[in-house]
Amino acid sequence: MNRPQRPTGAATSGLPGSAVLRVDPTACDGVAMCAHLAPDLIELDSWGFPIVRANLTERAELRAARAAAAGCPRRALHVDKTH
Amino acid sequence: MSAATRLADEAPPRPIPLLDGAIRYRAADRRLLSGPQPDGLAEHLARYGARPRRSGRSLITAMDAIQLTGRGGARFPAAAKWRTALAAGGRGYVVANGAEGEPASAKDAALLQHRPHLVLDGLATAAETMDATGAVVWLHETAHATRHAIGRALAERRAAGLIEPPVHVLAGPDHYLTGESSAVISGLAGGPVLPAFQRVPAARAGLYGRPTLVQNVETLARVALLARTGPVAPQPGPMVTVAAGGLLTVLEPPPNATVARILQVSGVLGGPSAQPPQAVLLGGYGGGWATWTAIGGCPIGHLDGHGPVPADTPSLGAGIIVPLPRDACGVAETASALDYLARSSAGQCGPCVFGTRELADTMTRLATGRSRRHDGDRIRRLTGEIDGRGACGLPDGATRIASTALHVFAADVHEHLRRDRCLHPGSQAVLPVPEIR
Ligand code: SF4
Ligand code: SF4
Repeated sequence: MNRPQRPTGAATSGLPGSAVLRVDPTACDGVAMCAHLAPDLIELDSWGFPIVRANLTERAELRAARAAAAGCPRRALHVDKTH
Repeated sequence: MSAATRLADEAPPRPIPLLDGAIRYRAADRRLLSGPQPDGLAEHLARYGARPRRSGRSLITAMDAIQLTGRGGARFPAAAKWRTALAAGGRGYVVANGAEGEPASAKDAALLQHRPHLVLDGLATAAETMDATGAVVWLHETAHATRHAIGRALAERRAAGLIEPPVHVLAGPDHYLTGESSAVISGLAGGPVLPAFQRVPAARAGLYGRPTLVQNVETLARVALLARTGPVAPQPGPMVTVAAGGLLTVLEPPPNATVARILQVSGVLGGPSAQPPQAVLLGGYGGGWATWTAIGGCPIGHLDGHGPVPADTPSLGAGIIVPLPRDACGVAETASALDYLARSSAGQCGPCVFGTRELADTMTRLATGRSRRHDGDRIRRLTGEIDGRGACGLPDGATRIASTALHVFAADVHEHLRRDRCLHPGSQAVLPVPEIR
């Protein structure tokens, strides 16, 4: 865990709107670290599993999403470019 | 002249059906009860002619022209998948997926047993188009009759010296999820036959990171016909399975046949005095409920995506039609379907493990007269909460079955919720829900 975060700015490789935040539900075990790291993007369901807002449209969102992904102990969060 | 019109000009302008008659199985043990003679290679060649050596790309154009979608239930456009795989360089894997998980479906078994060469033709054409490294027929390990039919067909083709890529016949456990595309790929790689989270589509990077096409066997049989006829209109209807009265009846109705007509032909809507069903489960446990009033007069071609359908009509999925008799309890049937799905869950994803189970338990409380305050609201909340949140579509199917039930069986739901009273007491269970080993 605790992959180093990429420097901001350079991290926004894509244009706003070109990335998605997704959770791998088979890997996630509901520790909920992510919801603390990116409260604006992630809320927790009744059982403590993350519901993510998929489309990242602003640079701040992309930064927060990357922070949450880096902080997930199960490596269950992925920031992927949309194709 | 486009490739598509060239194909059409060369071909006779009429659709060729896949089947030439109904095929009937006993639902309990899937024993074949009646059906036309299976095609050996000689009959196959007499009926359809040899597999044409058409360029894959003009075939893909033809697939687009008839809007060929995946017949396993997901209904993803086939041409788009093939293009993705080609754009990713091809040279991957092609899988003819015959592991139909829906307990009310038998069409893939019927096709593989009666027209194995058509599926193998489609698989060979797909493999050649992709310049594939491997071609696989994927089955349930308990599908002995199907495996036998495919084994015999492959032996016939070898003996006849057909030039085509070699085919491996492999199987996974007899489970609802064994035919799920990412589970197939995981199983083929030697991993557990369970769905996996896919960051990129399998058509781009699937088995061993190579472009992988997992196509339902009916899709491939349609490809094999398309390669022969070109994109003629109208195409033959979708294959359907009607599950009723302990039987699974596989048919290939013409696109203009209504659901009522299909039930008549399959023997469910018998004499003139026979009551029509109250509702229909469309698409099996990945589908949902529709009222008879809404769906009875709807042509199957429309449900297949080629025409308008009433609002909120569930997907036809893998072509499953289960009529619910007037004296059955829709709430109890929905509870048993949800319980089957919860028991079938691979137990990998939190929202599915907890949510699908809670949904099933809540509906079961309703069905058995033990409902609690707010159970109606609980069902609505759960359907919203788990939809789209699993690695596979299982929780989405549960969501649709539950939410369509609330509308289609509104009167029953109301009685169960308010008075713990069933409007159809003592009714027989209708939906097939196998044991899970
Ligand atoms: S931090 Fe990771 S494992 Fe924990 S809830 Fe979030 S996504 Fe799941
Ligand atoms: S959604 Fe459910 S059935 Fe599908 S992989 Fe996840 S836990 Fe398994």
